[in-house]
Amino acid sequence: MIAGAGESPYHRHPPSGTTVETLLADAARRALDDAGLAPRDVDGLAVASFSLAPDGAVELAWKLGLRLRWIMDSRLGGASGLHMLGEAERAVAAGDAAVVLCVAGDLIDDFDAFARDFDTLHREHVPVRGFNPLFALLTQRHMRAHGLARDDYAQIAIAQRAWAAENPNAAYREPLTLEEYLAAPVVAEPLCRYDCPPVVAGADAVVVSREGRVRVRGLQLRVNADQQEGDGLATGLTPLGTDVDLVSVYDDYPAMVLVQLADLGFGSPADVLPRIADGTLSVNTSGGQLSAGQAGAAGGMHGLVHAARALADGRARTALVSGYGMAIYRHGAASAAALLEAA
Amino acid sequence: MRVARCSGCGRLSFPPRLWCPHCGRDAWEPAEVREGVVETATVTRDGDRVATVVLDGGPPVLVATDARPGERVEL
Repeated sequence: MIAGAGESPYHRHPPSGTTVETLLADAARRALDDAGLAPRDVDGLAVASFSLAPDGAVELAWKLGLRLRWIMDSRLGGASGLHMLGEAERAVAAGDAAVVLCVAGDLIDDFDAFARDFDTLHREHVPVRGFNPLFALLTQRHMRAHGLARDDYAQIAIAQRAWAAENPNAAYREPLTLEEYLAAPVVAEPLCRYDCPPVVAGADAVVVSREGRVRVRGLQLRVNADQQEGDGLATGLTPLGTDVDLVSVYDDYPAMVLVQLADLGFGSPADVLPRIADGTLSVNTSGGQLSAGQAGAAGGMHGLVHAARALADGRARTALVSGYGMAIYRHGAASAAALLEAA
Repeated sequence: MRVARCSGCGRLSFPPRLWCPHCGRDAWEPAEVREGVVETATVTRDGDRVATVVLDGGPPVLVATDARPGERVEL
Protein backbone atom coordinates (compact mmCIF):
# COMPACT_ATOMS: atom_id res chain seq x y z
CA MET A 1 0.00 0.00 0.00
CA ILE A 2 1.05 3.58 -0.50
CA ALA A 3 1.64 5.16 2.90
CA GLY A 4 2.87 8.56 1.76
CA ALA A 5 3.61 10.69 -1.28
CA GLY A 6 5.61 13.85 -1.85
CA GLU A 7 6.94 16.15 -4.52
CA SER A 8 9.83 18.62 -4.36
CA PRO A 9 9.34 22.11 -5.77
CA TYR A 10 9.52 21.99 -9.57
CA HIS A 11 12.01 24.61 -10.81
CA ARG A 12 12.30 25.96 -14.34
CA HIS A 13 15.52 27.62 -13.10
CA PRO A 14 16.77 25.81 -9.98
CA PRO A 15 18.17 28.10 -7.26
CA SER A 16 21.94 27.90 -6.81
CA GLY A 17 22.96 25.03 -4.56
CA THR A 18 20.20 22.80 -5.95
CA THR A 19 21.43 19.40 -7.12
CA VAL A 20 19.63 16.27 -8.23
CA GLU A 21 20.50 14.84 -4.81
CA THR A 22 18.92 17.71 -2.88
CA LEU A 23 15.78 17.37 -5.01
CA LEU A 24 15.56 13.59 -4.46
CA ALA A 25 16.14 14.07 -0.72
CA ASP A 26 13.48 16.80 -0.59
CA ALA A 27 10.81 14.63 -2.25
CA ALA A 28 11.82 11.64 -0.10
CA ARG A 29 11.52 13.67 3.11
CA ARG A 30 8.08 14.96 2.09
CA ALA A 31 6.85 11.43 1.31
CA LEU A 32 8.17 10.13 4.67
CA ASP A 33 6.60 13.06 6.54
CA ASP A 34 3.31 12.37 4.74
CA ALA A 35 3.54 8.74 5.91
CA GLY A 36 4.45 9.77 9.46
CA LEU A 37 7.71 7.81 9.15
CA ALA A 38 11.39 8.62 9.78
CA PRO A 39 14.52 7.64 7.84
CA ARG A 40 15.28 4.92 10.40
CA ASP A 41 12.00 3.20 9.45
CA VAL A 42 13.10 2.74 5.81
CA ASP A 43 14.58 -0.64 4.90
CA GLY A 44 14.02 -0.60 1.14
CA LEU A 45 14.99 1.96 -1.53
CA ALA A 46 14.13 2.28 -5.23
CA VAL A 47 15.66 5.08 -7.30
CA ALA A 48 15.10 6.37 -10.85
CA SER A 49 17.22 9.26 -12.12
CA PHE A 50 19.23 9.88 -15.27
CA SER A 51 21.24 12.80 -13.90
CA LEU A 52 22.23 11.07 -10.65
CA ALA A 53 24.81 9.08 -12.68
CA PRO A 54 27.45 7.96 -12.04
CA ASP A 55 25.77 7.51 -8.67
CA GLY A 56 22.81 5.20 -8.19
CA ALA A 57 20.64 3.84 -5.42
CA VAL A 58 23.55 2.62 -3.27
CA GLU A 59 25.33 5.98 -3.20
CA LEU A 60 22.02 7.76 -2.51
CA ALA A 61 21.26 5.27 0.28
CA TRP A 62 24.61 6.06 1.90
CA LYS A 63 24.16 9.80 1.55
CA LEU A 64 20.70 9.49 3.12
CA GLY A 65 22.12 7.28 5.90
CA LEU A 66 19.68 4.45 5.16
CA ARG A 67 20.30 0.86 6.30
CA LEU A 68 18.57 -1.43 3.81
CA ARG A 69 17.71 -5.04 3.13
CA TRP A 70 16.16 -4.35 -0.30
CA ILE A 71 17.28 -1.97 -3.08
CA MET A 72 16.82 -1.37 -6.80
CA ASP A 73 17.69 1.07 -9.57
CA SER A 74 15.10 1.61 -12.30
CA ARG A 75 16.06 3.02 -15.69
CA LEU A 76 12.67 3.01 -17.37
CA GLY A 77 12.18 6.79 -17.63
CA GLY A 78 8.47 7.57 -17.71
CA ALA A 79 7.63 3.99 -16.73
CA SER A 80 10.03 3.99 -13.74
CA GLY A 81 7.53 5.27 -11.17
CA LEU A 82 5.11 2.40 -11.65
CA HIS A 83 7.94 -0.10 -12.20
CA MET A 84 9.30 0.79 -8.76
CA LEU A 85 5.82 0.81 -7.21
CA GLY A 86 5.20 -2.73 -8.47
CA GLU A 87 8.54 -4.07 -7.27
CA ALA A 88 8.14 -2.34 -3.89
CA GLU A 89 4.64 -3.81 -3.45
CA ARG A 90 6.02 -7.29 -4.12
CA ALA A 91 8.99 -6.76 -1.77
CA VAL A 92 6.66 -5.74 1.04
CA ALA A 93 4.21 -8.58 0.31
CA ALA A 94 7.10 -11.09 0.36
CA GLY A 95 8.44 -9.71 3.63
CA ASP A 96 11.74 -8.65 2.05
CA ALA A 97 11.20 -5.09 3.27
CA ALA A 98 8.77 -3.33 5.60
CA VAL A 99 9.04 0.25 4.31
CA VAL A 100 10.24 0.99 0.78
CA LEU A 101 11.04 4.53 -0.29
CA CYS A 102 10.61 5.00 -4.07
CA VAL A 103 12.08 8.21 -5.45
CA ALA A 104 12.52 9.62 -8.94
CA GLY A 105 13.92 12.94 -10.07
CA ASP A 106 16.28 14.83 -12.30
CA LEU A 107 18.14 18.07 -12.83
CA ILE A 108 19.19 18.18 -16.47
CA ASP A 109 21.34 21.21 -17.36
CA ASP A 110 21.74 20.60 -21.09
CA PHE A 111 18.70 18.81 -22.50
CA ASP A 112 20.13 18.53 -26.05
CA ALA A 113 23.22 16.75 -24.68
CA PHE A 114 21.00 14.55 -22.49
CA ALA A 115 18.96 13.46 -25.53
CA ARG A 116 22.04 12.91 -27.71
CA ASP A 117 23.71 10.73 -25.10
CA PHE A 118 20.48 9.06 -23.97
CA ASP A 119 21.72 5.68 -25.20
CA THR A 120 23.77 4.10 -27.97
CA LEU A 121 20.78 4.17 -30.33
CA HIS A 122 20.47 7.94 -30.05
CA ARG A 123 24.22 8.46 -30.32
CA GLU A 124 24.57 6.35 -33.44
CA HIS A 125 21.20 6.10 -35.19
CA VAL A 126 18.81 8.97 -34.39
CA PRO A 127 19.62 11.66 -37.00
CA VAL A 128 17.94 14.60 -35.22
CA ARG A 129 18.26 16.49 -31.93
CA GLY A 130 15.92 15.77 -29.06
CA PHE A 131 12.72 13.81 -28.64
CA ASN A 132 10.25 16.41 -29.97
CA PRO A 133 10.79 15.57 -33.68
CA LEU A 134 10.23 11.85 -32.97
CA PHE A 135 6.86 12.60 -31.41
CA ALA A 136 6.06 15.08 -34.17
CA LEU A 137 6.28 12.12 -36.57
CA LEU A 138 4.19 9.96 -34.21
CA THR A 139 1.58 12.73 -33.86
CA GLN A 140 1.32 12.97 -37.67
CA ARG A 141 0.55 9.23 -37.76
CA HIS A 142 -2.00 9.69 -34.97
CA MET A 143 -3.70 12.59 -36.81
CA ARG A 144 -3.94 10.48 -39.95
CA ALA A 145 -5.19 7.38 -38.12
CA HIS A 146 -7.97 9.22 -36.27
CA GLY A 147 -8.71 12.19 -38.53
CA LEU A 148 -7.60 14.69 -35.88
CA ALA A 149 -6.45 18.28 -36.27
CA ARG A 150 -4.34 20.59 -34.10
CA ASP A 151 -7.39 22.00 -32.28
CA ASP A 152 -8.22 18.46 -31.07
CA TYR A 153 -4.86 18.17 -29.32
CA ALA A 154 -5.36 21.72 -28.02
CA GLN A 155 -8.30 20.44 -25.94
CA ILE A 156 -5.88 18.38 -23.86
CA ALA A 157 -3.40 21.22 -23.30
CA ILE A 158 -6.24 23.62 -22.42
CA ALA A 159 -8.03 21.21 -20.05
CA GLN A 160 -4.81 20.32 -18.24
CA ARG A 161 -3.89 23.99 -17.92
CA ALA A 162 -7.26 24.60 -16.26
CA TRP A 163 -6.48 21.84 -13.74
CA ALA A 164 -3.00 23.35 -13.15
CA ALA A 165 -4.60 26.42 -11.56
CA GLU A 166 -5.18 24.19 -8.51
CA ASN A 167 -1.54 22.96 -8.38
CA PRO A 168 0.75 25.57 -6.77
CA ASN A 169 3.79 23.55 -7.92
CA ALA A 170 2.91 23.76 -11.64
CA ALA A 171 5.27 25.69 -13.93
CA TYR A 172 2.31 27.21 -15.85
CA ARG A 173 -1.01 27.99 -14.13
CA GLU A 174 -2.60 30.74 -16.21
CA PRO A 175 -5.55 29.65 -18.38
CA LEU A 176 -4.63 28.73 -21.96
CA THR A 177 -6.94 29.69 -24.83
CA LEU A 178 -7.36 27.97 -28.17
CA GLU A 179 -6.14 31.14 -29.89
CA GLU A 180 -2.93 31.15 -27.79
CA TYR A 181 -2.38 27.46 -28.50
CA LEU A 182 -2.81 27.87 -32.26
CA ALA A 183 -0.59 30.98 -32.33
CA ALA A 184 2.25 29.39 -30.32
CA PRO A 185 5.62 28.85 -31.99
CA VAL A 186 6.00 25.54 -33.82
CA VAL A 187 8.59 23.24 -32.22
CA ALA A 188 8.48 20.46 -34.83
CA GLU A 189 5.55 20.31 -37.25
CA PRO A 190 2.76 19.71 -36.05
CA LEU A 191 3.85 20.15 -32.41
CA CYS A 192 3.75 23.63 -30.92
CA ARG A 193 5.19 24.89 -27.65
CA TYR A 194 2.09 23.83 -25.68
CA ASP A 195 2.32 20.23 -26.94
CA CYS A 196 5.76 19.83 -25.32
CA PRO A 197 6.25 19.70 -21.55
CA PRO A 198 8.55 22.41 -20.17
CA VAL A 199 11.76 20.96 -18.75
CA VAL A 200 11.97 21.48 -15.00
CA ALA A 201 14.18 20.18 -12.20
CA GLY A 202 12.38 18.25 -9.50
CA ALA A 203 11.63 14.95 -7.82
CA ASP A 204 8.69 12.83 -6.66
CA ALA A 205 8.52 10.06 -4.08
CA VAL A 206 6.15 7.52 -2.56
CA VAL A 207 6.49 5.28 0.48
CA VAL A 208 5.24 1.70 0.18
CA SER A 209 4.49 -0.40 3.25
CA ARG A 210 2.02 -2.95 4.62
CA GLU A 211 -0.10 -0.13 6.07
CA GLY A 212 -1.24 2.87 4.08
CA ARG A 213 -4.03 5.02 2.71
CA VAL A 214 -3.94 3.83 -0.89
CA ARG A 215 -4.26 0.24 -2.08
CA VAL A 216 -2.66 -0.92 -5.33
CA ARG A 217 -5.31 -3.03 -7.08
CA GLY A 218 -3.61 -3.90 -10.36
CA LEU A 219 -0.28 -3.43 -12.05
CA GLN A 220 1.05 -3.87 -15.55
CA LEU A 221 4.43 -3.43 -17.22
CA ARG A 222 5.29 -3.73 -20.89
CA VAL A 223 8.68 -3.44 -22.62
CA ASN A 224 9.31 -3.53 -26.37
CA ALA A 225 5.65 -4.19 -27.16
CA ASP A 226 6.23 -3.38 -30.86
CA GLN A 227 10.02 -3.73 -31.13
CA GLN A 228 10.14 -0.13 -32.53
CA GLU A 229 8.77 -1.52 -35.79
CA GLY A 230 5.11 -0.47 -35.37
CA ASP A 231 3.44 2.93 -35.68
CA GLY A 232 3.91 3.78 -31.99
CA LEU A 233 0.16 4.35 -31.63
CA ALA A 234 -0.15 1.58 -29.02
CA THR A 235 1.78 1.06 -25.81
CA GLY A 236 0.95 -2.61 -25.19
CA LEU A 237 -1.07 -1.68 -22.08
CA THR A 238 -4.53 -3.22 -21.67
CA PRO A 239 -7.51 -2.13 -19.54
CA LEU A 240 -7.17 -2.46 -15.74
CA GLY A 241 -10.51 -0.78 -15.01
CA THR A 242 -12.24 2.31 -16.36
CA ASP A 243 -14.79 3.04 -13.61
CA VAL A 244 -12.43 5.44 -11.85
CA ASP A 245 -12.68 8.96 -10.44
CA LEU A 246 -9.49 10.22 -12.00
CA VAL A 247 -6.90 9.24 -14.56
CA SER A 248 -3.21 10.19 -14.71
CA VAL A 249 -1.61 9.22 -18.00
CA TYR A 250 1.92 10.07 -19.09
CA ASP A 251 1.60 13.29 -21.06
CA ASP A 252 4.89 13.87 -22.78
CA TYR A 253 2.71 14.85 -25.76
CA PRO A 254 -1.09 15.12 -26.22
CA ALA A 255 -1.16 12.30 -28.79
CA MET A 256 0.30 9.95 -26.18
CA VAL A 257 -2.46 10.93 -23.73
CA LEU A 258 -5.00 9.74 -26.31
CA VAL A 259 -2.99 6.60 -27.13
CA GLN A 260 -2.83 5.54 -23.46
CA LEU A 261 -6.51 6.34 -22.84
CA ALA A 262 -7.45 4.15 -25.82
CA ASP A 263 -5.14 1.31 -24.73
CA LEU A 264 -6.52 1.44 -21.18
CA GLY A 265 -10.11 1.13 -22.41
CA PHE A 266 -11.37 4.69 -21.98
CA GLY A 267 -12.29 4.95 -25.65
CA SER A 268 -11.16 6.37 -28.96
CA PRO A 269 -10.05 9.99 -29.31
CA ALA A 270 -13.54 10.85 -30.58
CA ASP A 271 -15.01 9.35 -27.39
CA VAL A 272 -12.66 10.88 -24.85
CA LEU A 273 -11.85 14.34 -26.23
CA PRO A 274 -15.31 15.82 -25.48
CA ARG A 275 -15.20 14.28 -21.98
CA ILE A 276 -11.75 15.74 -21.32
CA ALA A 277 -12.88 19.14 -22.59
CA ASP A 278 -16.03 19.26 -20.42
CA GLY A 279 -14.29 17.77 -17.37
CA THR A 280 -16.45 14.64 -17.07
CA LEU A 281 -13.25 12.60 -17.54
CA SER A 282 -10.70 13.93 -15.03
CA VAL A 283 -7.35 13.46 -16.77
CA ASN A 284 -4.05 14.72 -15.34
CA THR A 285 -5.58 16.87 -12.63
CA SER A 286 -2.18 18.17 -11.49
CA GLY A 287 -1.98 19.92 -14.85
CA GLY A 288 0.18 17.03 -15.99
CA GLN A 289 3.67 17.47 -17.26
CA LEU A 290 2.36 19.77 -20.00
CA SER A 291 1.59 22.39 -17.32
CA ALA A 292 3.49 21.26 -14.22
CA GLY A 293 6.70 20.49 -16.11
CA GLN A 294 8.75 17.40 -16.91
CA ALA A 295 11.44 16.64 -14.32
CA GLY A 296 13.15 13.81 -16.20
CA ALA A 297 12.48 10.47 -14.51
CA ALA A 298 10.17 12.20 -12.00
CA GLY A 299 7.70 12.51 -14.87
CA GLY A 300 6.95 8.84 -14.43
CA MET A 301 6.06 9.36 -10.77
CA HIS A 302 4.36 12.76 -10.98
CA GLY A 303 0.93 11.37 -11.88
CA LEU A 304 1.23 8.64 -9.23
CA VAL A 305 2.03 11.17 -6.48
CA HIS A 306 -0.89 13.41 -7.41
CA ALA A 307 -3.33 10.49 -7.71
CA ALA A 308 -2.16 9.03 -4.38
CA ARG A 309 -2.67 12.41 -2.68
CA ALA A 310 -6.18 12.75 -4.13
CA LEU A 311 -7.08 9.28 -2.85
CA ALA A 312 -5.52 9.89 0.58
CA ASP A 313 -7.34 13.25 0.90
CA GLY A 314 -10.71 11.77 -0.02
CA ARG A 315 -10.96 13.76 -3.27
CA ALA A 316 -11.27 10.49 -5.19
CA ARG A 317 -11.97 6.83 -4.39
CA THR A 318 -10.27 5.23 -7.38
CA ALA A 319 -7.63 6.23 -9.90
CA LEU A 320 -5.90 4.80 -12.94
CA VAL A 321 -2.28 5.84 -13.45
CA SER A 322 -0.07 5.03 -16.42
CA GLY A 323 3.53 5.69 -17.35
CA TYR A 324 5.34 5.64 -20.67
CA GLY A 325 8.90 6.27 -21.66
CA MET A 326 12.26 5.29 -23.06
CA ALA A 327 12.04 6.60 -26.62
CA ILE A 328 15.07 4.50 -27.51
CA TYR A 329 14.71 4.94 -31.27
CA ARG A 330 11.37 6.02 -32.78
CA HIS A 331 9.02 6.03 -29.77
CA GLY A 332 8.65 4.79 -26.20
CA ALA A 333 9.76 1.24 -25.44
CA ALA A 334 8.34 0.96 -21.91
CA SER A 335 4.93 1.48 -20.37
CA ALA A 336 3.22 0.67 -17.11
CA ALA A 337 -0.15 1.12 -15.43
CA ALA A 338 -1.64 0.80 -11.96
CA LEU A 339 -5.18 0.81 -10.60
CA LEU A 340 -5.34 2.55 -7.21
CA GLU A 341 -8.07 2.64 -4.58
CA ALA A 342 -8.46 4.60 -1.35
CA ALA A 343 -8.00 2.25 1.61
CA MET B 1 21.83 2.27 -46.62
CA ARG B 2 23.49 -0.60 -44.80
CA VAL B 3 21.11 -2.70 -42.68
CA ALA B 4 21.23 -6.23 -41.27
CA ARG B 5 19.50 -9.32 -42.67
CA CYS B 6 18.74 -12.18 -40.28
CA SER B 7 20.37 -15.39 -41.47
CA GLY B 8 17.53 -17.33 -39.84
CA CYS B 9 14.35 -15.75 -41.19
CA GLY B 10 15.67 -13.28 -43.76
CA ARG B 11 13.93 -10.26 -42.19
CA LEU B 12 15.72 -6.91 -42.31
CA SER B 13 16.53 -5.05 -39.11
CA PHE B 14 17.77 -1.56 -38.29
CA PRO B 15 19.36 -0.31 -36.08
CA PRO B 16 21.58 -3.38 -35.65
CA ARG B 17 20.62 -5.86 -32.93
CA LEU B 18 22.11 -8.94 -31.30
CA TRP B 19 19.16 -11.32 -31.62
CA CYS B 20 16.44 -11.27 -34.28
CA PRO B 21 13.14 -9.98 -32.82
CA HIS B 22 11.24 -12.29 -35.15
CA CYS B 23 13.03 -15.66 -34.94
CA GLY B 24 15.53 -15.25 -32.11
CA ARG B 25 18.63 -16.18 -34.15
CA ASP B 26 21.92 -14.34 -33.62
CA ALA B 27 23.47 -14.53 -37.09
CA TRP B 28 23.28 -11.52 -39.40
CA GLU B 29 24.54 -10.65 -42.84
CA PRO B 30 24.92 -7.12 -44.20
CA ALA B 31 22.24 -6.01 -46.66
CA GLU B 32 21.99 -2.88 -48.80
CA VAL B 33 18.62 -1.11 -49.09
CA ARG B 34 18.60 1.49 -51.85
CA GLU B 35 15.15 3.04 -51.52
CA GLY B 36 12.20 3.58 -49.26
CA VAL B 37 8.99 5.61 -49.03
CA VAL B 38 8.61 8.62 -46.77
CA GLU B 39 5.74 7.97 -44.36
CA THR B 40 5.93 11.14 -42.24
CA ALA B 41 8.32 14.09 -42.20
CA THR B 42 8.90 17.06 -39.94
CA VAL B 43 11.05 20.16 -39.68
CA THR B 44 12.06 21.64 -36.34
CA ARG B 45 12.22 25.32 -35.39
CA ASP B 46 16.01 25.02 -35.85
CA GLY B 47 15.53 23.82 -39.43
CA ASP B 48 16.48 20.20 -38.73
CA ARG B 49 14.60 17.75 -40.95
CA VAL B 50 13.80 14.14 -40.19
CA ALA B 51 11.45 11.62 -41.73
CA THR B 52 10.12 8.16 -41.08
CA VAL B 53 11.07 6.11 -44.13
CA VAL B 54 9.66 2.64 -44.69
CA LEU B 55 12.47 0.62 -46.22
CA ASP B 56 11.68 -1.59 -49.22
CA GLY B 57 11.13 -4.98 -47.59
CA GLY B 58 12.17 -3.68 -44.19
CA PRO B 59 11.20 -1.75 -41.06
CA PRO B 60 10.49 1.98 -40.67
CA VAL B 61 13.65 3.96 -39.97
CA LEU B 62 14.58 7.58 -39.23
CA VAL B 63 16.31 9.45 -42.05
CA ALA B 64 17.45 13.09 -42.30
CA THR B 65 15.88 14.14 -45.60
CA ASP B 66 13.97 17.02 -47.23
CA ALA B 67 11.59 14.60 -48.95
CA ARG B 68 7.84 14.84 -48.26
CA PRO B 69 5.38 12.12 -47.23
CA GLY B 70 4.52 9.75 -50.07
CA GLU B 71 7.79 10.42 -51.93
CA ARG B 72 10.21 7.63 -52.74
CA VAL B 73 13.74 8.43 -51.61
CA GLU B 74 17.16 7.03 -52.38
CA LEU B 75 19.09 6.10 -49.27
